[in-house]
Amino acid sequence: MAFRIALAGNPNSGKTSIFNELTGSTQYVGNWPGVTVEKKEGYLKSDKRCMIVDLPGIYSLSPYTLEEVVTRDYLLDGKPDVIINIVDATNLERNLYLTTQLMETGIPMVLALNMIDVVHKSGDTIDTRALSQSLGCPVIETSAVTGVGLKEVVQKALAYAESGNTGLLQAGFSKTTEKALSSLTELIADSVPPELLRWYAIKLFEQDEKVMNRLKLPATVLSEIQAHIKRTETEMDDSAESIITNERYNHITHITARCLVRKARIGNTTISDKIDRVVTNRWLALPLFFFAMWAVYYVSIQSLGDVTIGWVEWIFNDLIGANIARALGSIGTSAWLTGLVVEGIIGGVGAVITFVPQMMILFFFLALMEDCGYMARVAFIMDRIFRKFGLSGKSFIPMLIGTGCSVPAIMASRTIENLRDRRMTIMLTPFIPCGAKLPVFALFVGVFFPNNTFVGPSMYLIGILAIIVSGILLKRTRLFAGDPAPFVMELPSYHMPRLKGVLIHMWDRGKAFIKKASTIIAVASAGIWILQSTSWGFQMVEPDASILASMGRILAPVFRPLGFGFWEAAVATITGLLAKETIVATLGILVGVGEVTENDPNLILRISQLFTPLSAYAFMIFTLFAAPCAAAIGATRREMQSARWTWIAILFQTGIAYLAALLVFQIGSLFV
Amino acid sequence: MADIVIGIIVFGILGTIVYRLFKAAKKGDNSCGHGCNGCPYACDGSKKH
Repeated sequence: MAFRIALAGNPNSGKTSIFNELTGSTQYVGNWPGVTVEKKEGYLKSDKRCMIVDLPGIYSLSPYTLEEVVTRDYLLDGKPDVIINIVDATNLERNLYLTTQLMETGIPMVLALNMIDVVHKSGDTIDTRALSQSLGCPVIETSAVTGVGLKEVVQKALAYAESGNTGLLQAGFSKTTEKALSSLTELIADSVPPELLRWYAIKLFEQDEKVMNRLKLPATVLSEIQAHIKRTETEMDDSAESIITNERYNHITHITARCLVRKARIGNTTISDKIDRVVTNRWLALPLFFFAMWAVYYVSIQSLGDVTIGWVEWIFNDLIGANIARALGSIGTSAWLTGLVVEGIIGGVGAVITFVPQMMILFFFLALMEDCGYMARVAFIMDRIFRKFGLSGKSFIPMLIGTGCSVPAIMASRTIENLRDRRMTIMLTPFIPCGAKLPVFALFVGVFFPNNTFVGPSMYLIGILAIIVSGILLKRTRLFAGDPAPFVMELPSYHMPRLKGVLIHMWDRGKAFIKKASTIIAVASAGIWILQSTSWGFQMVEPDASILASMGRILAPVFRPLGFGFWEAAVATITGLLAKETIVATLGILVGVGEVTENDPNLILRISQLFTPLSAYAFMIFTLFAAPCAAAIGATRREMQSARWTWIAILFQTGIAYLAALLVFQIGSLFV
Repeated sequence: MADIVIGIIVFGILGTIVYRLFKAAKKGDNSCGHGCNGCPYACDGSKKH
């Protein structure tokens, strides 16, 4: 490998967008801080020998959360050949705080002044030459959206990596501070690499605990360091950490005074502020959010999404299924093998694929809401509500991600520092309906509630309600008691959604869904078909006399109080643990009609015989809350780092699912 | 004869899928077991893009 280039910068400064442009990847880009929680590696499109590493966004090199530790550790131990520091040009002063720290790591650096198009549009100007002179590194104007400057920034980075040029002009502190730093440098000279000497000295001066533990200095050296710090603090009448922070900002103010010219504005209210007055309004915020979610679900599932079903149904029923059945019949394939292929595999996979267009429409709208900056506001709104019930708004970010897939959502809980809150978030995040649950809801809404526009969106709202109620309950227990973690989030400015990004996001979801349908669901469907058509004596039988039926009947009584105490539903619930879409595939195979679509009269008839509208709604509620799929359980296990806590999560989720479905069915039975 | 040929093809494909799923899970290539592009954080650190 020729060089390793690290992309480092503040959260939401556009690192992943630039990473995607440079490597041709389609990593998830979100318009809120903290989207990247693990470093991502890719190879430069123009030179496959160069590796690009996308690091989680950080505000400083004093990490507080797990993903911030990932970035700092990589910069210190991974030793990239060059750093491309992505700076949000619309927020120069704050972004330069990290820049001054990156310069102290001794790694060659190139600064990408990203979002420069937004700066130009606002009428502000940045003198890149003056900025470059002040920092001692190349400064390139870039825009991840338009691709401006990206080629140049890479060329500069490669040149710097090659020459090992570290002629960076590091932040100069006051005489008193520099004196203390110089003393500290002498004390640790033998313990750290020479290029990191100043960085370590500053961190020790700031009394960074992680650095102190890392160096394992002798007690005598530590006491001498403490004496120097104490002396400086007394002299400057401030804490060591504040001294460094203030002096850094003084240095940055000096730089920005040279290079940043802001356009004079009448008043300080921007368009974003005006929109925020409405969408984050104390009284309007929640109704607006619920209306938005209702509209998204309505369009995706019941209006626009509904139209698309016929096309996919035609492809699977008339084009693929019928022709393959005919072809297999013509070459003399036996009935059971034709059944396995057509009813089992094509039927099961088709049942799930049918809902792909609906899901892609849903993700298109969710991506629009996210990219324009609205979803970041939702986290802010939710913080206000969550806080009242002992939860932090930080927990809502993973939940927003959970609308796509619970696996990344569970992993995103790493941004929560407090272990109790993190565990609680991991347990509650799967309550937000993920994309895989959508086909289940779409199927039942189509069959039982075709004219009711509230049933589909109600899953989302009930999910949020369950999170709040569970939060209240869990916070009252010894395991989760304590104040919620503080939530500080930078709200990005509103901007027009980028169609390319939105389409990539939508396509990624659809692609993953199709891939899952053609692998895990195809295998599961084949297994289910074999089990539902074979007896214990390995004879071909009707589904009611099959192995699957006898197994389902053992479990079915458990679900009787919930209204779906029949073997088909019991089996579907269990196969849902493999992947939630398998529930639809299972029902599709078990009702014996091949492709399940909500408009298929055979399906409506058969499913109507099994479920009532009330028991169907109870089944949807149970699916919403029950233990997530195997992949999400695996993610829970990894993030909890405890088998005990994984079991607690599974039992809690399934318990809530059972209780909620029981309440819905039993209370509903009183009125229906 | 048709059953043998079709059977080999169908079970061969299913077997390959199962083998690949287990292999991927064992390697820890993708945590969610089905393509990491759709899952922004699902790939573990070792995964190369």
